[in-house]
Amino acid sequence: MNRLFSNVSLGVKLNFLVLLVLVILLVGIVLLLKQNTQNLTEVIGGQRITEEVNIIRSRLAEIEDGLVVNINFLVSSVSFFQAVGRRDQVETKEIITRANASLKLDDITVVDGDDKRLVDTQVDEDQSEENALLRRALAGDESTALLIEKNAGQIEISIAVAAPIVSSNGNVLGAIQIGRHISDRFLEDLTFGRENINLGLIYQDKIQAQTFPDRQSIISSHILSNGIAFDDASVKLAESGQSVILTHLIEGDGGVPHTMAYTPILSAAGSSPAVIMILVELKDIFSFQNVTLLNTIIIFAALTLFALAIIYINIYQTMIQPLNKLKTIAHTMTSGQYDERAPVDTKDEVGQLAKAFNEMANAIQQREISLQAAREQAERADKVKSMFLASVSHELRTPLNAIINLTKFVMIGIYGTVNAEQVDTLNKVERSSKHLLNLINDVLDISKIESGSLELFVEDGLKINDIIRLAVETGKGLLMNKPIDIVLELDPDLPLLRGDEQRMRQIMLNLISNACKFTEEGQIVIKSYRQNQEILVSICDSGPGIDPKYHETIFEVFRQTKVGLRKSEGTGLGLPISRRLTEAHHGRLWVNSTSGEGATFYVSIPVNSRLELTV
Amino acid sequence: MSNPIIWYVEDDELSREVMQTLLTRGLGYTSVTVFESSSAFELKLDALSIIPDVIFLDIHMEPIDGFTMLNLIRQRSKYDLTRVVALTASVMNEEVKKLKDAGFNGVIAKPLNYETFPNALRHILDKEDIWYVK
Repeated sequence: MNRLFSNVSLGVKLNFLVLLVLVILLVGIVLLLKQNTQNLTEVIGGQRITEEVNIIRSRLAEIEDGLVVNINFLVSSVSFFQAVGRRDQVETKEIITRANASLKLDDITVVDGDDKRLVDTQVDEDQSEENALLRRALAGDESTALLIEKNAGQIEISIAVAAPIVSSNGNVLGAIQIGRHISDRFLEDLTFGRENINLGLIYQDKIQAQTFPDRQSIISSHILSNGIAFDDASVKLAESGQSVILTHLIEGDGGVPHTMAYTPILSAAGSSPAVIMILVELKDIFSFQNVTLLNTIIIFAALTLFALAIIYINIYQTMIQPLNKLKTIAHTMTSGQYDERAPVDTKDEVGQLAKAFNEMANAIQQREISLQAAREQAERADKVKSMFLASVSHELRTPLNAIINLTKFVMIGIYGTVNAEQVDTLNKVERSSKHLLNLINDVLDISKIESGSLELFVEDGLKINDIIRLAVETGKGLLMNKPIDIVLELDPDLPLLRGDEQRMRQIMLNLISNACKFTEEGQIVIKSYRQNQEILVSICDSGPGIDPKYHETIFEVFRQTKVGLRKSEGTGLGLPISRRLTEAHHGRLWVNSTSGEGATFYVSIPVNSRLELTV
Repeated sequence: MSNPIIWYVEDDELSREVMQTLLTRGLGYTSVTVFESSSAFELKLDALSIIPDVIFLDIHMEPIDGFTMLNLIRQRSKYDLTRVVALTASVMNEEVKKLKDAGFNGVIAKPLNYETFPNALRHILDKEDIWYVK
C-alpha cells in the first residue's frame, strides 16, 4: 500500500486512510445494527407467532364447539327425530335444508337406524370415513373427527361431528353427521382477513388450501407465500398432535423475515393427519430496520465527509503548507540562494523540522562562505605559485643566456684564436649550461604537472606530420655524425588534430631526441598512421633497447635506466613529462622493446578530441 | 636582406652584450642599435628618423614593459612595416599566448640559441610570425 501511494500527495494519502478507517467503522456499525435488529425481530416475531397460534387454535376450537352446539340443536328437534324415525326422506331433507339456511354447514348427512342415508347434502366419492363416523354415532357415541374425503378428484378435508338421533324414550333412530370444509375461504375466516398472516392446510406433503392471495404465482405445492416452503420435520411433529413454533426467522423473497408455526386442527389430543401452517410476514419490522440502517449510513457518511474536510484543512494548514514552503526553500537553496529561511510557527514536529532545516541552512550557508573563502585563497595561492614559477624560470634563464652564448662566442673564435684544448673545455661548459637549461625547463614542467596547473594552449588544425618534421630537424643535431638514417613514413592523409602544438612538438622532440641519443648506428624509422579513432606515431630505433622490466619505470620521475644514465645528459624527466602531456591530450604513450633489439615508442592521440579550445 | 636595421631594447647589460655580439660579430650585421632601457627608447621613438626592419623587445622591463612598449610603437604609423618580436626568458604557454594576443610578430626565447637564431631571424624578416620557442 505504501508503494501504491508513494506518488500521491500527503493530503490524499491521509484522507484515504481516514476514509478507510471510517468505512471500516461504518461496516462494523451496520453489521452490529443488523445483528441487533435481527435479534429484536426474532423476539417480536416470536411473540407475534405465539399470539397467532393461540388465536388460530382458539378459533378452531370455537368452530369445533359450534359444530357440537349445532348438532345438538338438530338432534334435539322433535320434528327432526320423528321424521328420521319415520324414515321420511322428504321431510327430513326439508328440515335439514331449512336449518342449514342459517347454519351454513358444508355437509350434512343423516342415516336411519339401519344406516341407510336419508339425507346427504354432499355426496362424496369415498364415504368410508364418513360412514365410520356415522356408525360410531349409531352405536350411541357423539364424536368429532377430521374427515379426509375425495370429491371430484380433489381432496377435501373437513371438521366433522357425528351424533346419534335419539327418540324421547331413548331409542336410537338414526345418526347425523355435520362438517365444515377447510377451504381457502375457511382459512381466510380464521385470519379475519388480516394482511401479513397466511395460513395453509397441509396434507400428505401438499398444501391443500391456503390464504395467500396470489395463488397463481405458487410454483410448488410446498410453497405457501414469498417463496417459503414448509419443512417436513415440523409437519410430522404437528401431525402427532402438538403445535410447533419455529424460534428462528425465515427469510422470504426480498429478504423479508417471517416467523412460522404448525398446528394440529382438532383440539382433542391425538394425531392429526392434516395440519395448518401459520406464516407471519414481519414486513413492518423489516422496513423499519431498513429505514434505520439507511438513515444510519446517510448520517454516518455525512459526518465522515465533514470529518474528512476538517482533517484535511487541519493537515493542510499544519503540515502540507509548511512542508511545501520548506520544499520551495530547499529548491532555492539548491540553486545557490541561501538567504531564505522557513517560517517556524509551531513547536510541533513540523515546526521542529522547519527549525532544524533553518539550522542546517545556516550551517550550509556558513560552510559555503568558508568554502568560498578557501577556494579564493587556493586560487590566490595558485596564482602566486604560477607567478613564482614564471619568475624562477625568467630569473634562471637570463644569466644562462649570457653563460651559454658568451661561452659559444669564445669557442667559435669571435674574441680571438682559441686552441683545441680550450675549445674542448668551452664545449663542456656549453653542454653543462644547456643541460642546466633543460633541467630548469623540465623541472618547471614537472612541477606544473604535479601541481595540476599545467594549462594546454588548445588549437584546431594541427598537422602532426609537420610537427614530426620540425622535431626531426631539431633532433638531427644530436646525431653527431653517427651513421644513422632517419626514415620518415608519414601518412599524408591524416586528419587535422586538436591540441597544444608546442606540447605535441615537445613530446615528439623528446622521443626523437632519445632515439638519436641512444642509437649508435642503423635506422630511426618514424611512422604516422591512423588506427580507428586514433592517430598513432611510432618512433623505432636500432639502439640498445629496453628490458621489459623497465618499461614502466622509465616513465616515472627521475628513473632512468643504467644505460640511460651512462649515455645521456638527460634530466630523467623527459619521458614522464611526455607521458603526462600525452595523457593531457587524452592519448597514450608506451614502449615496445626487448633488450638489445632497439625500442619502439608509440604515441596515440584521439582524432575527435574532447579538449576545449583555448579562447 | 643582407643588412637589416635591427633595434633591441633590453635593460639587462649582459643580454644586450650577447645580442649585440651575436648580430654584429657573429652574423656580421652593422645596423644594430641597442637601447639600455625602455624609458630611454621611448624618448627616441619619435625623434629617430630611421625605420628599423625589426625591433626585439625584452618583456620584463621597468618602468615600461614590453607590452606597453609594443603599443607605443604600433601607435606610430611610421613603424607599420617594422616587425616587433619579443625576446623573453618567460616562455610558458600562457605567456606566449599573451604575446600573440598583444600583437607581437613572434617570440624568441632566452637563452638565445646560436644555432637556430639565424634561421628564426630570417623567418622574421620574411614577414613570417614565429611562435615556436625553445
